[in-house]
Amino acid sequence: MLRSLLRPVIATAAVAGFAGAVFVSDSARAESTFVYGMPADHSVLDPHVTCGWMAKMVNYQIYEGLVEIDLHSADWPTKLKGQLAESWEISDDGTEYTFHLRQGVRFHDGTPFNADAVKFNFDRFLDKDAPQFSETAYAYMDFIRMIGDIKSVDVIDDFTVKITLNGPNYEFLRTGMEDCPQMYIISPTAIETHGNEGIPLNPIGTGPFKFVERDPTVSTTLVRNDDYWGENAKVDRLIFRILEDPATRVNALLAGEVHAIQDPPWDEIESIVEEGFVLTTNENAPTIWYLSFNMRHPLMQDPRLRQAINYAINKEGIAEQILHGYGKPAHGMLNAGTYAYDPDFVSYTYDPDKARELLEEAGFGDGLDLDFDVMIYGTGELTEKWIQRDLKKVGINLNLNKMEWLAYLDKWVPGMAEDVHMNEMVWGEQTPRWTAFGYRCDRVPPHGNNIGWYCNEDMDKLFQQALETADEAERAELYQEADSWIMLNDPANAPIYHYFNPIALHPSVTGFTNAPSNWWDFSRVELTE
Amino acid sequence: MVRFTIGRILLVVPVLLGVSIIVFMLVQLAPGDVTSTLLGPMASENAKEVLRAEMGLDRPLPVQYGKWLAAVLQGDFGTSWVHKRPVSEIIFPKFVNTALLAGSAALIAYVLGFSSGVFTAAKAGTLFDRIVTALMLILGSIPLYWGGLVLVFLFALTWRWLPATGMTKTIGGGGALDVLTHLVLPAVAASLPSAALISRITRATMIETLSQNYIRVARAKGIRRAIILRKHALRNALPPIVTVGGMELGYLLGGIVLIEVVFAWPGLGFVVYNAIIGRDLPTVQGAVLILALAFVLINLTVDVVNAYLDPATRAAEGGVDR
Repeated sequence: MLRSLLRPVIATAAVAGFAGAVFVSDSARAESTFVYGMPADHSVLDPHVTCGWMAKMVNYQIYEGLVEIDLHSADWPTKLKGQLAESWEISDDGTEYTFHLRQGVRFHDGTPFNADAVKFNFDRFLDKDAPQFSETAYAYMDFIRMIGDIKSVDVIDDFTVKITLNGPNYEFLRTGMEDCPQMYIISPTAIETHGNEGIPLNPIGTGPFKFVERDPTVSTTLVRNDDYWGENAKVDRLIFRILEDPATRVNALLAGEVHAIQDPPWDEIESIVEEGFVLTTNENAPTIWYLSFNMRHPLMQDPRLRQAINYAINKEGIAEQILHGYGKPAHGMLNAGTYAYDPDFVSYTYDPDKARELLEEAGFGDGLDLDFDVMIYGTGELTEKWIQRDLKKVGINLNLNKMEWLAYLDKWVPGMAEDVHMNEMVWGEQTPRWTAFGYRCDRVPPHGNNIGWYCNEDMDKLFQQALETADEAERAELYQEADSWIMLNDPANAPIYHYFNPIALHPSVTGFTNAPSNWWDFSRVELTE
Repeated sequence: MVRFTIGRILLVVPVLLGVSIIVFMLVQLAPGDVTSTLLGPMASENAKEVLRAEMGLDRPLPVQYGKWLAAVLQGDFGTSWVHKRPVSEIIFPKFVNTALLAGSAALIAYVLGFSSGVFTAAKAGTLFDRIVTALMLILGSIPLYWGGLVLVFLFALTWRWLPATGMTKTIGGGGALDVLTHLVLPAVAASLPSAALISRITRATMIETLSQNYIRVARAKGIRRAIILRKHALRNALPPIVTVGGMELGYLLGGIVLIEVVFAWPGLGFVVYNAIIGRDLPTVQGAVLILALAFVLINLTVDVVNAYLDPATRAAEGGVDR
């Protein structure tokens, strides 16, 4: 009796033991494959209809733009370099950009790259009558201001393209060509063959890696493009593995199942490094975590209230206690990645007494209630709760209205409604012009991301002047002038922190550069045993 | 028996129809606008109107439901809004992965739970009974997530016997043995709560059965204890155990998502989780429908097996075969 019942148990145990004995560790790598552990699944591999950083990370390896940020350098400020354009000229009035294209480049499907391919891609969202016109691409490009900038795209000859703008604009390269969504060039043949909806499964560009397959929510596999026009990638294959759970991500790294993980849990980084893994960060990553105030709400009219909130939040504490030092306090809306960022600028340092004083002056001495829209994005709302606690100390009672990410975005994009006093966002673009989109009177929704309805015509003039200034250093000063004036006198936001983008690497990885970006180049990555 | 089985199968049809209506209504009940999910939150109203008409979302609900059901019956679950590919291509392979994991976990739970339940019932009240019962209680009370992490820490990171994540090796993986090594830890972790429950049910039912008069009679007749256990008690104790076992398999299929997350197992739970977060409703619909179908089929099997084991069920619910 006992024996007959035990038999299956013994059999199971035997199978498990056998399996354990035969399992060979992962250290033997026949082909050089680099596996990257991503913290979230990425969106579609059609660069014109997506904005997410995870999708950019994959798209960046497959596609190329005319001009790009040089991600082979970790230095700040970042430099622009020609990618599919060898060189470019800007007309004296700042309205005409002429690109001289690289010759002899082919897409992964063999289609030659030329001026017609560039025009074909732009018409995907500029020309409503073109067969390749995509309503979704139009919607994304419109929001990201691309369409309003461009008057026309003209083919001059096989390898020359001229883009004419609606007005002088010296930030066009960083706004339009090197931002979100990036103006990557897709193979026209692929769009014609597979249609607009078919590009996500047939992503064909000119980049150092070619798409092989995507297993949704599991992994995306790329292979080296041996016919690349530039320096070939070092590894044979590049696999992005989706590991959403932070503990799982760390386990996969420690077990040698991935070579790198993005966003290791901050409180575990130290022990990962002690195990011999290598941590990379960048203190000038273009990210900013910020609160926006609803300027249309009668309660928020008084600048002293908004200044008081800025004084009351202990940003140093957030950077130290929550981020474990993998971020630094933000003092303005110019993120740490733009060339216009001023590391020495200080707007508000933690001063609850000053905050109470300002509130008293403004007539809020008895305290007040504010509604704060909050997104649920897997971080446990630690920072939001910290802010709630800090504001409580100065007499502001903050109600957190938590929403799941997409519901949040649906409420965020149309601009703040009457029922809310402030909300939050994490963003980060290379161009300082992004601050203008958040401040300018003509960039309120649906024409941009001025979702707090800030408006000051004097500042608008400064932003316009900056846009029309050819010299980068002068431009930076103008953006700084506008941002610091608004921050100090009439704050429309409470910037909280800039993040350092920690990435932990297996010791066998060399050649990875944690550039000031939210996606990185993997073509120079090598594996040594 | 045949009539009973046919009757049961016929009952499945209205249940599935009901499920399909609820699943279809998910799209209608979900907050936010379908078209803003598809076109991005910054799309113009005009573009949204065009898309609504294109998708037939401006038609009456019953018409939309009819069209959707007709397509589903042909295996067409629509196109994923997020991945832009047929939903069936995404969910079927993932369902197989989940079924493999849930099935293995259920198997471990049956063996572990059933054997420990029978033994402890046979030795009820002894020290052995108390130790095993307490052990099962502890194992069953461990939170899945934590239990999974402890297993990974011990077997994958400390002793390096088994892999920590995934279903195959990312580099050069594949093959039955590779899958098996990846299967062990998540299957064991997922099986523990079910094993504990089955063990408890088995022990209770067996103890109850062993106290019945006919067992006492058998014992009085001098039949050996092992034969009484196996031939007289076990068969009569089986129906509730089979019922719980079936339910546990159903729960494992639907509820294994935590284990899938901890072990990065490429299963359906993970897909559903991501589809809900990304509001990819066709994928949610398809996945829920296929899980509901599996659940219904498991219950059907349980009913039929129980009817076979216990003629009284047949008599009560479908008439006795002659």
